[in-house]
Amino acid sequence: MKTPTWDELAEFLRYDGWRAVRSTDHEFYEKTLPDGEILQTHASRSGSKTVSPGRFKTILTDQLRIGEDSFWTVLRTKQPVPRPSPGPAPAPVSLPLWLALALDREGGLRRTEIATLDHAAAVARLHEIRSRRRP
Amino acid sequence: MTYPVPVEEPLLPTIEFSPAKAQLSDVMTRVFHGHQPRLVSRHNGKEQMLLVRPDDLVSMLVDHQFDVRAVYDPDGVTLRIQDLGILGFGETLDEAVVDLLDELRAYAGRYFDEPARYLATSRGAHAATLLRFALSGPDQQRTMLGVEEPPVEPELVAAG
Repeated sequence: MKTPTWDELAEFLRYDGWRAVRSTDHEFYEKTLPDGEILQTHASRSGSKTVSPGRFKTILTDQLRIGEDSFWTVLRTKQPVPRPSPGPAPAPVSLPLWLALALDREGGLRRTEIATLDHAAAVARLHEIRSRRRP
Repeated sequence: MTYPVPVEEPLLPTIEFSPAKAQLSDVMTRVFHGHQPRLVSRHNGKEQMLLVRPDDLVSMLVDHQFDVRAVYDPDGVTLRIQDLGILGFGETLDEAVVDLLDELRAYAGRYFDEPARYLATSRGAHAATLLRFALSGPDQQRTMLGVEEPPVEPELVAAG
């Protein structure tokens, strides 16, 4: 999956008509859709660094609410996304926070290992870790 | 079948604005020490506000918490609260938790600065959970992220 840099993400926000807002020492970007819905995001993290694939998918799904193709089209055409946007991005694989914490704390699993697990595999792995610890 | 029309008696203790102002100390004592919510009313009930002890309100909202999911990449963790559109980033899970809490505090601040703006949209549904979060201390705010394992995780039982 091709992913943008944080600078490209900021560029997208500019072309798509997002407004930079500063509120109590916290900078974020906001866009109000024609139906009144308010979208918010927080860009400008670390400039030329590339956004990770899972993180990029999450930003598309949860904050920008557009598909991947629409994102790159905006950067190419420098025109805002037509709203409502067709084909929002599919949600990335994710785990409930308590399960991620348990794998991290109880199993000492590394981030790269957890990244390969879907919910069922993560639950099975936690069960296996707990079974091994039982006397 | 007909039903009797009920007389509209307030179910909560209600006090008119002027006496409330004159007896504010007593009103506050009842709300705080007596744990009695009070409606303050003026213009024949056309305008009302509710006085309630903040920690009582937090207890009333105990079921409201965030549905936080972790997305893993080889080089970092992203925490998402999908219905709020709020994300926390970190190289580690702990860093992402700290970042998510910062983002939530900033969002709650913006939300209650301009509540009418948010309440008019689908973000209106965030009000109760954000209110509980805003009134809670740092430990309770962290608990609201769902860091504790639920009492029964069906899949875990099934796997056993």
